[in-house]
Amino acid sequence: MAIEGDVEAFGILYNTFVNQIFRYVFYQINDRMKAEDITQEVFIKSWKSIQTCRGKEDTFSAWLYRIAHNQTVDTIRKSKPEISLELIDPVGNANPETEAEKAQEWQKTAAALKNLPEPQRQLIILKFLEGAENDEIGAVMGKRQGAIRALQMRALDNLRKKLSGGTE
Amino acid sequence: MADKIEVILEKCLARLKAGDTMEDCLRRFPDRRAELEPLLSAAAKMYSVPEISVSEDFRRESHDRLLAGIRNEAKPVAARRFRLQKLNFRVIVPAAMVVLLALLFWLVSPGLTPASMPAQINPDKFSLSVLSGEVETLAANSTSWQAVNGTIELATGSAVRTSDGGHAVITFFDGSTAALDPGTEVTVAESSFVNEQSVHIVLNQLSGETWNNVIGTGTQQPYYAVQTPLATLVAQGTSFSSEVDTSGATGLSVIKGTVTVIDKQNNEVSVAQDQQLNIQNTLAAAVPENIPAAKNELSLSLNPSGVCSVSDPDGASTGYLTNGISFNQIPNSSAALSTNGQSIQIETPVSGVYTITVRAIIPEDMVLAIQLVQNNQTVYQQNLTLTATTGSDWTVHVDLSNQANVTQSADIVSFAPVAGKTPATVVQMPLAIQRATPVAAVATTPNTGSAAAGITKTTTSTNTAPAVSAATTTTKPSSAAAVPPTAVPPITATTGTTTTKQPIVTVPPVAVTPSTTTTTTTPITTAPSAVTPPTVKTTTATTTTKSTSSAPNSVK
Repeated sequence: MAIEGDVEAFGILYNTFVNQIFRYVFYQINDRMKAEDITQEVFIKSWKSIQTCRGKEDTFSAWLYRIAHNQTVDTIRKSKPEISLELIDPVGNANPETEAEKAQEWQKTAAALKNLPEPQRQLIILKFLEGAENDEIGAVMGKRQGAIRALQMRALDNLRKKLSGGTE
Repeated sequence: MADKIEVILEKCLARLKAGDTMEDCLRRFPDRRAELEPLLSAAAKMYSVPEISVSEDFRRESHDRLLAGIRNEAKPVAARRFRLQKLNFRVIVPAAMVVLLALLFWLVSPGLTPASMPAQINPDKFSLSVLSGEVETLAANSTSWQAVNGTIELATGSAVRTSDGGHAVITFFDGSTAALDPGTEVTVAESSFVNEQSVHIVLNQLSGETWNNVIGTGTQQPYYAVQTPLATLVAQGTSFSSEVDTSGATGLSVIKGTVTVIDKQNNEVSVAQDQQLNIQNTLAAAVPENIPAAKNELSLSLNPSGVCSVSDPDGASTGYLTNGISFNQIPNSSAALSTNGQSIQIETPVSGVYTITVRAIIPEDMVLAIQLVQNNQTVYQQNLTLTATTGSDWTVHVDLSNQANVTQSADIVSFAPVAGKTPATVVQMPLAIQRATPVAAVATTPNTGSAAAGITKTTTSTNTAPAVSAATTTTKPSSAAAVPPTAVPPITATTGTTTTKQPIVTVPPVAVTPSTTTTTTTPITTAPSAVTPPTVKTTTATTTTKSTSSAPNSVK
């Protein structure tokens, strides 16, 4: 077990969660290079403090998300000038035209996401892009289920307005 | 009763995720269709975002580097820097320019070394001093962390982080300091002197532990706040430590004054002196608790003939300079001046060599008592009596050996003249100097009122009977290395009624054995020496009560 200092087991945890954490970070900052950098930092920090997480979080992934969130927020706060929007770089041999359309669509979505208040953005990413359940989101964000449902509604409503070019 | 729209939305989202179409969902709740449709439409949009993954190259390289780093106990900061260098090649040229500009700045800028002071009051600037280990800074308009050495000046908005073994101290324009423990990352969000009346300092603490010593100046109460991911800690004339773990949970310990804690929901709790508070999410369940009494404490006291400071093995220092400047960088330490002299307490000292700097302000005996107190019992005491000329500065090196945070042995390993290089890293800000009252000036004015001006000249009798019961101890002659150069101003030791010149002695390690019943007093022995060095008298005592610590003690 990693918590016992087993490096190999931590390597397995890394392989299990690396994509999840990377996506969570990437969807927030929309910069692959920075997202990879932050992802690595998240795992370094998690190793350093893995002994302290025992019993403090509902799940290991919730704990990782919280580290990732802190790290990402800090990066966003310090990033000046603004991080430029980046095209998603899909893996595979897809049709270039289709991919260009997808990329354009993602740009629009990413811009809308970026303009959401931080808790709303965090919830949208966890719920719809990461596929997390409400109880896990609650554990990550430190909120009760009722608060998560209310926040979810506000976030979707706000996102809809942003996507249609309106304001909150 | 009909479900709330939030609950209905949640049901629809679950169905959408399970494979139902949006229309399927809307048909189930026809009377809420108008509200649901735009929300589900936005949700469907998000579900359609293409999934991405890390590149296989990154996954493999990062995995291997991470595990190799763990195995070799490599420092994470170094690992990250390697990656930044590898990936962000685009910033190499700008970074090189920054380095060149920094070098030029150093060449033309006097006054940023610890021994001197900044020429002007710049409230929006602060000094960063590296005490030990690796420390990096990120300017407000930069994306590249830069390694720091020595002391540099930074602008508000800059971030600072310490590596696993890194210690640093930030000094603000009013002299307030924030000492950064290893693994700490902070941003100086604000530093201003509002209407030249009120100090306003805000520090964002993302991780690690800071030790904050608030000074303040001007006519109004300073506003000094530490913002953590969960709360804002507002000091009221205070020394306090703030710890943030990777989950954002915040720990607060107040050593002096009061700290008001405000969480994100605007709940507020006041944490008084000697109290601590742990915040996991909000303040709703957080209750201040009394800080348990320190089981292990290093205590120094010096009579009014001089002032002293102590530097810990990590390079942090606490104490006073002769110009009245005080500093407090060692976590959980305190220093005070009174008409009886000066005292310094360090709770739970770490293993390693502590350097005590003693500075004479009047040509009288200086009596320095070094004590270790465990569970309210003095288990170790060394009294040094120095007769010095004004301006004599000496360092005393004390080696502590700990097990499980409890000191097992203490050893005065050497004495040496300061000889121009002060062990303490102290940036003396203009405002702090303006405010300070030189100790030397007031030392010759008896019965001065304020604490800062409370040093008065007293006569110390070297024939005073020892006030402590001393256990049997032995000393051995010093090694040559322990003898300072003869060029320094000599200190004459007075042993009883006979003045002799003796070599400095190195006191052997003293095992800490609480509550000994031995009461034999044994003078320190010294070995003759061919050189004519300054002399120091030492006495070693193992006593059973703390109250015996303050009396000046010399040995005939």
